[in-house]
Amino acid sequence: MADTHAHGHHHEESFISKYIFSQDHKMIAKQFLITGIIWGVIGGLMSVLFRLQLGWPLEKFPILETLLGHWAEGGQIVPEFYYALVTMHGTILVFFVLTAGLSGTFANLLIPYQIGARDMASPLLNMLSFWFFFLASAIMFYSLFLPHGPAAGGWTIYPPLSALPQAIPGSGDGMTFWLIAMALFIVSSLMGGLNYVVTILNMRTKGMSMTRMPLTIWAIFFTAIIGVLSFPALLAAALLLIFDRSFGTSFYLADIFIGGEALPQVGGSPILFQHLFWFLGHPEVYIVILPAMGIVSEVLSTNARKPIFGYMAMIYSILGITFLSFIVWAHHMFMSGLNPFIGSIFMVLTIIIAVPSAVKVFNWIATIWKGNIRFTPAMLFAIGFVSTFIAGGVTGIFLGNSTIDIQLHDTYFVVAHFHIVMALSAIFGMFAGVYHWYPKLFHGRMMNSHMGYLHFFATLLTAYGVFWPMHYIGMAGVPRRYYSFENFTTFNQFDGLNAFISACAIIGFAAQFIFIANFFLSIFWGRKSKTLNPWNSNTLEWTTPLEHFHGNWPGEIPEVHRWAYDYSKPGAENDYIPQTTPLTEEELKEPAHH
Amino acid sequence: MVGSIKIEDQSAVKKLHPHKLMLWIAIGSMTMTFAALTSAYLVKKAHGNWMDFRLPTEFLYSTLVVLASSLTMHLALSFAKKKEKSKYLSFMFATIALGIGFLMCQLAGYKALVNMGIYLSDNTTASGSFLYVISFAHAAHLIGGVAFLIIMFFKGVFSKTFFENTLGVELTSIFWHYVGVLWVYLFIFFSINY
Repeated sequence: MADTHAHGHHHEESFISKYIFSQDHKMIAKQFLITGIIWGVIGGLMSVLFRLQLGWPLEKFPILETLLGHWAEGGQIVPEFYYALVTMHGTILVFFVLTAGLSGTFANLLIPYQIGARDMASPLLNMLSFWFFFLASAIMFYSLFLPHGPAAGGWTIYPPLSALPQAIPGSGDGMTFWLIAMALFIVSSLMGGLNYVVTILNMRTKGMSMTRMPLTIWAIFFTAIIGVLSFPALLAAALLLIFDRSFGTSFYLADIFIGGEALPQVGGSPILFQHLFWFLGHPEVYIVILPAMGIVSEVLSTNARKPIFGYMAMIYSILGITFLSFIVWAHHMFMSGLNPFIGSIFMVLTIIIAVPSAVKVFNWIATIWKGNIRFTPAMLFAIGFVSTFIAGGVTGIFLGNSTIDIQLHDTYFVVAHFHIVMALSAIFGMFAGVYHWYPKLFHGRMMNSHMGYLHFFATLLTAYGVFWPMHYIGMAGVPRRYYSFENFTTFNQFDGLNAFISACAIIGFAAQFIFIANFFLSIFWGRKSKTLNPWNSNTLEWTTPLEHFHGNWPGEIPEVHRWAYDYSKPGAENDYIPQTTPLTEEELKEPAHH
Repeated sequence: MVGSIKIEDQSAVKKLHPHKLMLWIAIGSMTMTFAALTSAYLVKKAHGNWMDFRLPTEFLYSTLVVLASSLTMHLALSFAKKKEKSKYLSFMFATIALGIGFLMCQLAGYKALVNMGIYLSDNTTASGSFLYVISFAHAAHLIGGVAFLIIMFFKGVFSKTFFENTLGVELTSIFWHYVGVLWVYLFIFFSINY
């Protein structure tokens, strides 16, 4: 056995130390998840509000004035608030839901469980990581109620709107609060990332070699590496921005007129900010998607009752994606006056990402091919992920091409692309993970499958209903971020399509309450799993007791003897062989699986 | 029990102490921050609207001071490992003094810059502002290092079991050498690029 120091003894914990300032990775995972769900509802509600404006721009909704006051005077969202909604929707979903909510939940839950550790390398740092995130959340939430509104210059906070407090209403206090919240968020991410990498490298149980780790852990490992190496660039960008805002420097500002009056700042360059921002911004896409890829790999293999296809190819693909993610940032800047030769280099590097991505898609499909598939809600969301990743990934090849980007950039085609490939896919991966590991989160309780199916189909149909038509209006040149198209007669032909998109968005948002009800009700009334291992899975987390205690295993940590994907092995008694099962004589003679 | 799980107990595959590994990765992260800042400097310089000036000599003095502090830190660590308390404390004190001396040299450097007419708040060019902001960011890291040095000094004075486990001093030493090397990089970078 791996651990000679038994930790089976239970210790008395106070309410505060168990549920609030907990250092237990499982409780921290739940804290990240529930905070992420709350942010998901807030961010989703914002999209409903701005879709009301885009779908029915001439309609008045008196209830909006009741709820939002002067931000929706006469029942119509005012332009300043529209921009604030779009900005905060992006910020919340990208960082607070799909980074902290997704990575924070599953890295915390799965790393110690699946590698066979009592907890993270530094439980204290782990706790601080959540509380910095919480503090960031509180500040960002408070900014929504500032008299001049929250930040409104787009989630990318490009200068000059972000650098000049007097530029637009959201550029003042709203932007200041945004920066403070994001600084705390970056600290939280770095604390988490450091812990994840160290725990994976240093704390694996006996027998858990790197190439026996489940793909979830590989994905989280590379995600953490991307985070610790790319968030500092955003920190650097924010530092210079703060000096521009408050100390009279001019890193990003030049040739600006406000109200017809030239500003004194002439020394800077807004393009500089774009370089720094996208050096984080593009890897951020992979911070969001890689954990979902790991979750999906695990869920597909478990529920297809088949070994993951091409385990090593999956790892090399993640490695390739990680490496490439750092050298493609300027594809977000093709239209910024970038040297066309440089643009062509970034174009080639960008298109190359299709190779490891395609390897992964091929392997997922090959994994479920001729599998004995169990269509659990988690499995449906995992299959849905593969669908959205393909649908959204294909349009990345269009946008990665610098010449096609001349037509498509800043149109709804871009909105459709990144929402499908990044937002939808990551959310689908997150849902797959929640449905799959719910029994580990809540003491063996299971979520209701029927509600899960309803949630999946409603989400899948409405999500495609929202984003599929956006490709058409984007190709027709309809620009993103516009408050209204009423003055553009050429775009009036899309009024009906915009209303359809908005209707789908509202129904899709409403459908998420099926999940939320299922999630919270199942904590108390969910069916109790009859076994420790309800999905007949191979990984270590299913060997821990239903009741949580700090230390995970009551006795010694189990030793690992095999990889995580021995499903439907010929000659085996069951269609799964847990990682803790020693290799048989015959298996010892076989070549390695991967 | 909260906070009671010993890291040493958990590890089955121990190569490097988890806290040391964590520090090295954090150093990677900090390096990326300064790589981003110095890259931004180069990008902005290439955009034009740039003012060239000679780096004040005070920054050379601060470089020599920080190099000397690395030497005293190294000696302090080696005496901590040998459990020679008085020598450890002497060299830790010297390191702290040199750390503060470095900050004083930096302040003198800023004063020299101001005398040359190069200010932090300059909206006509970012060249001087970059020097201020990047060196501020470095100084913030170094002040953190001095704080750790002071903690380790007083632990050495008061803790009876301090010399049984020198991990804290080792971590402080790694970080201190890092901020020293980082300044040497920045000094060379600024010297070449101004």
